[in-house]
Amino acid sequence: MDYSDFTVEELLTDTSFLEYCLGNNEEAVLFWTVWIKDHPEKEQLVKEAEQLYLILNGQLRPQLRSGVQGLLMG
Amino acid sequence: MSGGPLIRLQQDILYHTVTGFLPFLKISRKMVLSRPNYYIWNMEKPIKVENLWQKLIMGDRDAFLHIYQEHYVGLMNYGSFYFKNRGTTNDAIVEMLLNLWDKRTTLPQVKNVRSYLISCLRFTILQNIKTEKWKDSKANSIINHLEGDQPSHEEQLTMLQSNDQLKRKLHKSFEKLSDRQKELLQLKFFENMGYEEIAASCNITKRTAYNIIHDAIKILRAELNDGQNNISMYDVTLLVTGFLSVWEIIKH
Repeated sequence: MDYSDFTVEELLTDTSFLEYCLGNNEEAVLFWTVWIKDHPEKEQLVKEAEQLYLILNGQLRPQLRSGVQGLLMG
Repeated sequence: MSGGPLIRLQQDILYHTVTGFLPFLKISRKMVLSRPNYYIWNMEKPIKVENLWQKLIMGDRDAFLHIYQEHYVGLMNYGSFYFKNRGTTNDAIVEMLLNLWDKRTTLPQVKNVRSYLISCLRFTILQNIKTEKWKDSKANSIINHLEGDQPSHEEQLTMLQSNDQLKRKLHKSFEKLSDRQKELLQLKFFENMGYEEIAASCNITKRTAYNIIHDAIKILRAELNDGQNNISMYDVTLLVTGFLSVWEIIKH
């Protein structure tokens, strides 16, 4: 699968993209951050997908994974 | 709620941008790019839920993290209904997780992790209300909700902070969807369930679940981006704040 041909619908059905939006999988976050940097022409598409995702998930924004790590260390 | 870890968590939980998050990562770009298969259609990736739960009982912190990450959105959206406040809900989730971790060796075997965690969260919320930790004018109505069944659609609507234009727009868009499409969108995005779980609970294949969600998004996009006098989807996002959730709107 070539991500450079992705549509908004495909992004929103891609598990790793949703993990990136939510910030709950650091590998996915890194992958998509790098990917977006490498594909500036896709910025608008990614933005639309992220915004639609926020509408659909009840406006939960990315949060730091270290949140629960801090909890465990406490 | 205990002091130290909670305060740290609250600091951490202040929302960060994704890029702000990167310096904390300990994996290299090369590592990620060398595993492209992980990212390609990983909807096929099996979910080893029972395994994770077993590991949690054994005291595996990574397993605990995974469970947290997998269920956070679902729990947050569940709990937020009662508190109408993300911060309070987050406190309840954290407290519930602390208890879970403390009691890990005595946890039962659980088949459905999500519903077990929701039961735990309900218990935590109820206890806090009863010990007057969160005493306020809404306490009684929260107790009634929690001791009763799941919230009704009308109840969900009462927490709607309305922007009429936005409300109409979203409502109109969702009217174009079938009940099945709405159901799957809710399971996928609001409850943050995986394709595997959705397929199992709806008695369809993962591919069918995927197709239904794909088509539903396509219809939604077309509706939201349609029309000259209508607000664009980007405006919609700016208008949607706090607890104005699309799910409260469409259930009207």
